[in-house]
Amino acid sequence: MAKGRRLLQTDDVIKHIENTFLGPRGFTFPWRARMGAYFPVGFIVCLGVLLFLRWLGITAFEPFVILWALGTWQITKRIMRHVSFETPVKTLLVIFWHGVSAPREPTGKSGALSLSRVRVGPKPSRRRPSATAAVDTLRRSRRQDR
Amino acid sequence: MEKLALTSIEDNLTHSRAGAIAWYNIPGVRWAFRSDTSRLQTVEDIARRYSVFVNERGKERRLHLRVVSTPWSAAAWQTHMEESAISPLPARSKVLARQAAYLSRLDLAEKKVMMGVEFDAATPLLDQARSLAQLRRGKDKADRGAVRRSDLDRMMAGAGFDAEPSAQTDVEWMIRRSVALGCPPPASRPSFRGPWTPTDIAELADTANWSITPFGDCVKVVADIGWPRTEKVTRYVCIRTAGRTDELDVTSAWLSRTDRLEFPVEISATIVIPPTEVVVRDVRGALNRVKYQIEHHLEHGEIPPMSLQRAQTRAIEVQDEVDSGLSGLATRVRTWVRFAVSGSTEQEALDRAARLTDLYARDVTIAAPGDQYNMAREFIACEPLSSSAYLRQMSVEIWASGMPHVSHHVGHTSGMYLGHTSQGAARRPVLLDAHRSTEERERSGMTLVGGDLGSGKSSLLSKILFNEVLAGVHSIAVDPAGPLAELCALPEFKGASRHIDLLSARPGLLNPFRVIPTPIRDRYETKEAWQQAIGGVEAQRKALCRDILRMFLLPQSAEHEDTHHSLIAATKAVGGHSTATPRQVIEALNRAKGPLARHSKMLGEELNEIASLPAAQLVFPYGGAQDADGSEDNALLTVFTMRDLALPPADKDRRQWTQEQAMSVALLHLAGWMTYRMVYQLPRHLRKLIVVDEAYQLTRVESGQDLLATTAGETRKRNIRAVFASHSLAEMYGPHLNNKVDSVYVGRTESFEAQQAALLALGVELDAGYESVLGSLSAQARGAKGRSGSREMITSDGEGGVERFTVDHGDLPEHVLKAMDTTPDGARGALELAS
Repeated sequence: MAKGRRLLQTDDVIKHIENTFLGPRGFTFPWRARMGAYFPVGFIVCLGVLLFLRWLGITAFEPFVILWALGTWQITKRIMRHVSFETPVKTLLVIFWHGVSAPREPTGKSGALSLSRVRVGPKPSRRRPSATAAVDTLRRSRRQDR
Repeated sequence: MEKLALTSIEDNLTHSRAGAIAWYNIPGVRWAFRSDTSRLQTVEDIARRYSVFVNERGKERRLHLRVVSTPWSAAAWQTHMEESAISPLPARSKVLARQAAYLSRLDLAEKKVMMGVEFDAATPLLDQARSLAQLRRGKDKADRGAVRRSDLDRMMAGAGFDAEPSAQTDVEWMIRRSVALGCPPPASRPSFRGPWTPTDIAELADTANWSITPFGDCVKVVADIGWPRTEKVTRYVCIRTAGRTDELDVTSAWLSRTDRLEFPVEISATIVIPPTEVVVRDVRGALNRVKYQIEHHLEHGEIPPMSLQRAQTRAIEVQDEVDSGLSGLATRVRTWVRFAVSGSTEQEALDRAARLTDLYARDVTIAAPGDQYNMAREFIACEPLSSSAYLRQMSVEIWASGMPHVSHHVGHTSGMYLGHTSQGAARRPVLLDAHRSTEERERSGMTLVGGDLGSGKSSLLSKILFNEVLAGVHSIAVDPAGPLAELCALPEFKGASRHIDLLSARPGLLNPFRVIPTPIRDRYETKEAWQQAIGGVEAQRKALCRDILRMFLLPQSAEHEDTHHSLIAATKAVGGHSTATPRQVIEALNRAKGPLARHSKMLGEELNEIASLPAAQLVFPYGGAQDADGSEDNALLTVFTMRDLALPPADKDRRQWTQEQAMSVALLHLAGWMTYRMVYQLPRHLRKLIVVDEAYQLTRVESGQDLLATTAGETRKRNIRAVFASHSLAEMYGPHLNNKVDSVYVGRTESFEAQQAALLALGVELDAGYESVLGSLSAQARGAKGRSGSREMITSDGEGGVERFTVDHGDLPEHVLKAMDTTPDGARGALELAS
């Protein structure tokens, strides 16, 4: 029974350090964003939005810049909601891929997990009685006869 | 078809392309009713065992923990019970079938904890290369980095884990249960004692269809269960993972907390033990990041968040622990802990997952991961970690304190069903194999039952008695109040039982010289030993007679300084032969000469007066030697009662006893000895049962203590299960019974003194806070209507298990329950009066 409980702390406090970038030296941004919001997420999203706009045929003129900035900001913000010290960006991508590729019930690929191909027990021996082994046995029996 | 990483199972090994995992069974550890110091010691042992896996050559070691819920088979229990009985009564099969049907409805389960260790599984080719290398480079270099199976066996068998390599069937069982994750076990259930047989394994699915909606909350598992007839079962499995963790109590056994839930929770954990230099590098990296962040904030004139300072302090502590830690306790572990709950609908699975989250809300955040499918696959051996998400890093001591193998097991692996442990899904049956301690463990067969009024003592005694008599065990019960006598009237025991009410029994039945049996010559190797035993028995008879006569005397006469000497002289004159009677002692008192003559005559007159009372004829027969002793009738069940005599309350002083109370105590003593005599006359190896209720009355005089100690000592040699019940074990559990008690059952006990005595008998450390637990047993909610229902007890099974359990009589037929019921029923009383 607990008379004097002994409590121990995990290393979560150390792992849970959120690197924030306040701005370049001498200039502080009016917002506080996590480092990941700039790189890699922000940078990649920025490029992605740019490519998307180009694909749509929206090229360099005033609304383009606004759309680019707004798109990058919104998408980065949404992605960063799922990024934490528990699920870093790289892990998030893996989870996303797993979510997309997992087997589906009605139409998708079969999700059957089967042990039918798993061997149980020792590997069956492939050795067959060789001619030399037969000769050796014969020699041994002759020696015994002598 | 999805491909499994697992390629083969061989002995305790599971192989995949990535390597092999050797699986070990980790035995359960008792956690309940242990002091914090003792629990801490266990945690430290386990932590040190984990630290053995630290690889100093810069390679991380990976372990896998798997907690599988396994069913308990009522059908197999029934078969075993039928096979193990020697000469059961004909009615037993029917009762056993009923009991098995009831037990199968209870869904009793056990958890199995297995630990897998990844190791460098050498293929034959690699083995040959190593042998060559050994020749060329010497042995030391040859086995670099390679941990051989024998080394693993040794490492896992050490203190802390005490693990044994799993049987191949165990591994197969675990894997098949994982493939059909969340699905119920087959209806016919596997063997209840293990190891699993090929038929058991065949009943489990080897193929299951797993599917999930895009980013869904649950994995749908469809499996065919049963063999040869299969049944398609669908379950929704919800995976949860251990997230951010607060401070954890080292003795909290936090991974066993899931046992409290009433549904099974499967656990899978991947444990990585990194080498020390990796930990040091990580901590230094963390320190640098914290330092940079603090500087960055100060650079911008901002106050650094408190979390950074906390992280810095903790990182410095960890660095210090790792740098200066001489013992293995400084080791760090990285783990990914997954929980799987299932339901027949998606909503049920999600509700259960919410219950799990609530259970851990105090100190562990239970997260709902997005990658349900791949995390569920982690439960199958050899499957890779789905992702590095939800990594936990902690000291090995915290991880060891998880204690997933905490066991609530108590009682025997077979035997009569008494009840089940009170914990949620891992409800285990509490069984009593009444003759295991004497026949297999060569220990005493003494059982003590304690508890306040209404704590369930009498019904437990009835249950033991009913099951034992059904199994054909010769049973004798002494029950002053009389409820056990109801069992004699049961149709199952027709012609095999007899009830003797001592007040209407034949005169001389309890003659103190007759109730102690004469040693049988055949049971002694030499004549000298036999004669010595006869001498001892005669002395015992005289002592018993003196004790009994003193009980009949008025307190002032009994306590007179000359009384003892007068009685000694009189019993000496009569001798200790079985043909003697207490009337002869009275005559000897009347004939006494010398300085004690006057006092002896006075005692003789007083005893003569008492001997003329009708109830006293049992003890003071006319005619002596030829009086019937009642033991010639060899019934399977004999119950002695004293229904019209009231025993004095435990706290009533001897001086305040009425004559009737004094007589009832004396008769109880003699009945106790009578029981012993009857058992003694039966063949030595025959299974026997003695049940004595209100046994504390026996300990009030020396000869009673002698009876307890003698019975306890003889239980092993004579294959006796002796059950002594009392409202308080304070009077009973004394030096005379030290090391002679096998098992103990204690019900609700409210007096502090009785609580301490009960804990002492249970083998639980005193003053550790467990006294109050005894007072809280069978607690009924304030204002609750109706009867309080099933009773709770704490039992020590004599094999190291101590646990709280619920005494369950649901398995017994209705008419037996009615016979066992000691609770008054007003309506029934009125009917009886009217008839």
